[in-house]
Amino acid sequence: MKIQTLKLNRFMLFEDVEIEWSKNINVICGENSTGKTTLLKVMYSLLKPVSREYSEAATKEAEERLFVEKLQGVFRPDDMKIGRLVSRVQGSDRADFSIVMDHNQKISVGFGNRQENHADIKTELNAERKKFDVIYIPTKEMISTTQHFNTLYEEYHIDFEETYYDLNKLLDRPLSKGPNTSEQNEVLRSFEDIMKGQIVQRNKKFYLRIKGEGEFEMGLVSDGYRKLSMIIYMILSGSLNRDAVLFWDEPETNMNPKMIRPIVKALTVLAQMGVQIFVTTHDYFVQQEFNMRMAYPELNPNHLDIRFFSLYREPDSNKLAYEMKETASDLEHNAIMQEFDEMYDREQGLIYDI
Amino acid sequence: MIFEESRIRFRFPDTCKTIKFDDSVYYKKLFNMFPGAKGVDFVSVTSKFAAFIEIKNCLGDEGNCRWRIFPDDKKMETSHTEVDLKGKHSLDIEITEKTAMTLAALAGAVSHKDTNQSSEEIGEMAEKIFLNYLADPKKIKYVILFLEGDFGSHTRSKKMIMSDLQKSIRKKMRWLNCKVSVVDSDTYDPRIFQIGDENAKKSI
Repeated sequence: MKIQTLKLNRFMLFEDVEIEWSKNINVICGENSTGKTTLLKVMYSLLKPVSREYSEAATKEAEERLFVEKLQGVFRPDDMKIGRLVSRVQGSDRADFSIVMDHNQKISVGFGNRQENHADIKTELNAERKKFDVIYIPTKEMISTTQHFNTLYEEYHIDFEETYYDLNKLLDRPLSKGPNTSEQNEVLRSFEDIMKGQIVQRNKKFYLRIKGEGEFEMGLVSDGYRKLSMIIYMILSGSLNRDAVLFWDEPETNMNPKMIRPIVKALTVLAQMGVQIFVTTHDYFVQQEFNMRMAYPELNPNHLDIRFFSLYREPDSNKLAYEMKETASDLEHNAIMQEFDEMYDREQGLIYDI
Repeated sequence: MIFEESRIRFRFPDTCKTIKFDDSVYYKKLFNMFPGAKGVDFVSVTSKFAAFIEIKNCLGDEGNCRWRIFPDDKKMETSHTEVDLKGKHSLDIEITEKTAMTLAALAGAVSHKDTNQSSEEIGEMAEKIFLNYLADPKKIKYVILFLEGDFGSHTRSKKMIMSDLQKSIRKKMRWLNCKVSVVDSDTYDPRIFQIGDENAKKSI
């Protein structure tokens, strides 16, 4: 499954946008509160209810419930009223949004700002479509808390977005049968090279096995390694496969810059394998590692389509806007690079404060 | 005062006393006797500051100058250039050496102030720098590298490059109580100098 287009009309911060995505890798940048995570979450909420884990809804009402509950769980509006997701600008009383996927498949959702749990849902999906997985990796790692998280989430009201619960369910899957594909093995090698060990699961607990040193509980390894362990396990358990869509919110969180290069390398191998990837980032190294692959074609021998998106506010109207370019260097609104330049300017201001 | 250096016209405010240091008689006749002697392009003083200014115009020849912009001679071995790099250093080291030698030369000029005609031109300024600026920690001493050239790349903007050089020069210049600045035609401070003709005056 590949998302081709996302349309948002009066949904949260977005007044009216239509974004065409790459089928390979999409790198989304922008200052805080410009809607980067919202983009990932809205696409995830639309795609997840039709993914492998969910059986086909028998009735229109059941279908509506699936989408509404996913939106409620992922965005967690107050009192679970989805109407709160309608843009708050004057004159907005309804949000409409949709994704178009390959083979002309489409999912559209719309609801008014007074709605609590009703939405207009329209799905145009191929009956024979392949089963696919949708994975959302939030900023916090989950692998160290897998053992009891699902029970907690199901039995108590805990303030965790549903993306954490969904991810935990994927980590709860057993290992898949049969050998890995060569692409999966390449990604695994890349990750295991970084971690200098292998991930093993026993009694719903994960361990990092390092040759000559033994097994370490996930609670004893760094946050960065735990995130990588999640990816490795999802490959081993078959969730991250050629038909998957991966949303990764700020992969740089808790990562040393030295780990960014191998992570980007592994993500490009995943994209080569067929995974459609969406990454948000505030990090210079994440952005530029991807940028190098587009700026220097010799680093991108398989001609992966990597697109760079920047979300920003128009200076006069404060309206949210975006731009898309084929290299990050071409972005006119690049919050990461702008901050470097502004820091230089501020420093010159201090130096020449005569 | 107007000077031409590296194909660029520099206009110093009337409030400045500026010399083109390596054109001075003292530099040419006395200091240059010292093998390996070098100095910054301009020394400029006002009532508020003394500035040691080096000009590098690499515009149009950036390919041959790339080795200069990576601090600590990091790319001396690997950058492709037609320039013979024997005895040469990256800009951070070059500017530090030139500033140190300029100060040594100014000390020499002070020592010769009334005894050697060659030092007449800069002797008074040199004495002023030592007495009024170097001896007074409150007075500002600038070490400025003016770096012209389109060095920005896909992954680093020109300002990032200038910032890196600035940090590296500052580190090497810790022995002097000074402010280090790397600027170009977009970022220079017009109170120190301006470039181009009168019509191109940058607002202060």
